[in-house]
Amino acid sequence: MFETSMAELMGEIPWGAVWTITGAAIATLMAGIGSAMGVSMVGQAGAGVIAEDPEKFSKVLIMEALPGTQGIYGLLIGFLIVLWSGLLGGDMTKFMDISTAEGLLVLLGSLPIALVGLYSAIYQGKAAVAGVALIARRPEQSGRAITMCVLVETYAVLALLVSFLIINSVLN
Amino acid sequence: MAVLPVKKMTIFALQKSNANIISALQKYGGVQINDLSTAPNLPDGILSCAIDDDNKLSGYNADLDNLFNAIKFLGTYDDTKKGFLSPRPNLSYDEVDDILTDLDTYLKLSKYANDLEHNLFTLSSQKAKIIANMDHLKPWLTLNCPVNIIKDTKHTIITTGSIPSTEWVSFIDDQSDMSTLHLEEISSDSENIYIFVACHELEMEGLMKSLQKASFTKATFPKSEGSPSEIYDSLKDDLISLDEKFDELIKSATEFSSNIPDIKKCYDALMLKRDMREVALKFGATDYTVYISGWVPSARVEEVTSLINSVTSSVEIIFTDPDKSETPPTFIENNAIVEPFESITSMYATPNAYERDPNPVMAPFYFIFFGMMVSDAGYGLVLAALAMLLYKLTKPEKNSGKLILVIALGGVSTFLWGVLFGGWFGFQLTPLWFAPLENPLLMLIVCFGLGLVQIMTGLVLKTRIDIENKGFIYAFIKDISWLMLFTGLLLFASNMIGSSPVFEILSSIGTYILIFAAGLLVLGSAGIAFIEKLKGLEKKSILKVIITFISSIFSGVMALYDITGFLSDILSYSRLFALGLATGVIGMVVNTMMGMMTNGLGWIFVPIVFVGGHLFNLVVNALGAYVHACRLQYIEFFGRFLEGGGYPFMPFTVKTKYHRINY
Repeated sequence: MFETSMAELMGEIPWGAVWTITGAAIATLMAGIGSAMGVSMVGQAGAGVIAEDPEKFSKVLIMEALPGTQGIYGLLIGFLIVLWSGLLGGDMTKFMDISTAEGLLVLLGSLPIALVGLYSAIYQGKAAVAGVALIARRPEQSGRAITMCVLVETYAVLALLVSFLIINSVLN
Repeated sequence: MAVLPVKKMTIFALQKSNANIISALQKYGGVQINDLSTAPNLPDGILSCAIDDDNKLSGYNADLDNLFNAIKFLGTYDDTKKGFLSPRPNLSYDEVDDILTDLDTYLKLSKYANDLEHNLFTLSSQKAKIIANMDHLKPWLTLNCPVNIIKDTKHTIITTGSIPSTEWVSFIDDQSDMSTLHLEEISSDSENIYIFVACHELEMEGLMKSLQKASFTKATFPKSEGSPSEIYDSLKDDLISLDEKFDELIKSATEFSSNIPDIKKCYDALMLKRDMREVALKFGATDYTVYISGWVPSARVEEVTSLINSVTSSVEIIFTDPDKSETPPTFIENNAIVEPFESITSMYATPNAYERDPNPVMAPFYFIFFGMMVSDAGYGLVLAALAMLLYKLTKPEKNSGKLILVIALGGVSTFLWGVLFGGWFGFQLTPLWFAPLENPLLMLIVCFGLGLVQIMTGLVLKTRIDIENKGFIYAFIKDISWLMLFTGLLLFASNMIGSSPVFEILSSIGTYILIFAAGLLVLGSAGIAFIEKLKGLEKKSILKVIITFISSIFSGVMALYDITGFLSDILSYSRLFALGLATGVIGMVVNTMMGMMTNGLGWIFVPIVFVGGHLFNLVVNALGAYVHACRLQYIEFFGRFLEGGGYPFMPFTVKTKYHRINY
């Protein structure tokens, strides 16, 4: 057991598959963390508004849902990676045959949605909190609050697209 | 189908017809009344009616507040089942006066409800106080001496109280050298130890010092007779009787809540009366006549004339066009298909009265984009069906109804795109056109293409506006050049589709158009800048002219910089693909999860996962599609040509909170 050299040990690990699944994990977890933080921020602000005026619940709930989309995008990329790598379908030969280079490319491809998802969800949460404050004072302007919050999501959408294109090109 | 013209309306009538005119206008609901109390200059001899306000209006508002509080309070005790989606009850306009003859009764009823509320509040704070006292007594229950004898005697100090458990050990140490001390531990809990302590007055100082050091808190008892446990029992009895009173009050509130429908009727009737009084204060008056100023859509002029004439014949109505200094309100009317989309525009801005209505042009784009961003045929059917069902059941008022109709139309579009792309409840079936997941680059080209169409439409609208406001040459240089540029670009890129000689010819035509357009834009902008700057020069020396010339060339070239703005706008349309992708893939995830449950007992969960998962996906993505489609219209489309700054036409009409008025 102790005679096995580091090189041999490393050689047994299917690095291509490992990096691929790392990419899926990172995309999902970082975007999910971002959305969780963003949505939670808005929930806290919203609870304060509802304490004063329960009538505003539906408007505040919509604001709370808005930072949640980045988590869904992360899930999307994670799912597509797991699907196209063959792991989900049980196609283990395709999965194990992923070269290290391909795996690293998939890992890099997951970074846009991971990092942009994380930060844009947090910042969108902050914008949504401000929108909730706007709704508290002027409930008829809820449409504008929503619009201003959604502008932040543009960047998550663009990052999703790039991640998708990279993953699609590498794994298909 | 547009922003329609409005005319200024002026009415002179006798004061005795005032009430009838107001009532007729309120029922008609199509005329906007100007508030003359804030108008800068009234015609000679006419005074604003607001001067004569006899506080009737504030009286109405105060009564409305009372009624509303009663309704709100009683509503919490009302346990009649109300359908969640039931439409508003009807109320006839002619009943209003009858209801208001009973106004005093209703005000008494609401006062009774408000008193009930007040009493309940007092009772519950009394209850809370008793419960708090009972809690404080709990540690002392084992002390079985009457509390009125726990006081100093002639020569001894006697007291009870609590010491925090953290101080207990050091307290005991301090007592070790006191000889006349009697210390009894009555009880203890997690935070404090409750003691009875007595000592001779000679040792008082030492005791007080050590008690203070130990953060001793003297005990207080809510009553001054009886032992703690006796006090506790009597408090318990007090609590029981308070509870009985409380339950009685709640019972009478619940019984009383059967009056809610009547109080609501009274509220709406009073609201109509209040609105009539409010509008009466907006008029002007002389000694015997009343002077009304307002706005009427041009199409309604005859209707309004005959309406007023049917009320009284001693009246003069004048209609004039608004003059340049006045901004009339913006009155928009569209057909039934475009009308729901007015809600999208009104969330952004109201077009000013001299602009064209953007809704008919925006509506098809919104329709298409919404569908692309959800793009699942199954979801589309569900969305359209649910929205229409909701609309039929709740029969909403105009503005909330528009939103539901937009969603319903969006559902239809979703269905169409779902059929084109082959998505059915997350399953990828044979598409009528192509499947985006299998050919993402084609999908992106489609998205960018549609985006380019909308941007060019915006440019065309801007061209028309610029031709009207700034002349044909300006529009030709600034707007038409961009249109030519894009056309040239498209023709130039056409030889990427295939390599037949047709495309070669188109491509070279495109190149020439492109170069011409770019040149037109640069030189034309430079020329415009040059002329503008020359006008601003006071002294026209040769040197200054040359400098101006060079800086104009520079600004001409900078005009091309706008290409980056166009590029980012086109790229923004990639969200059409991204959001549709998100819906499709989540649907796929739901179906995959469903597939994993089909062994053995898992079959029970399959329908739950199917319905729940797809419903969640539908709701989240429909919300996203609604919001992002709005955003695309606002930023990439309206931003190019819509000035806004108008205020919407707000007619004096029947407004109610709880009922729907029928005539």
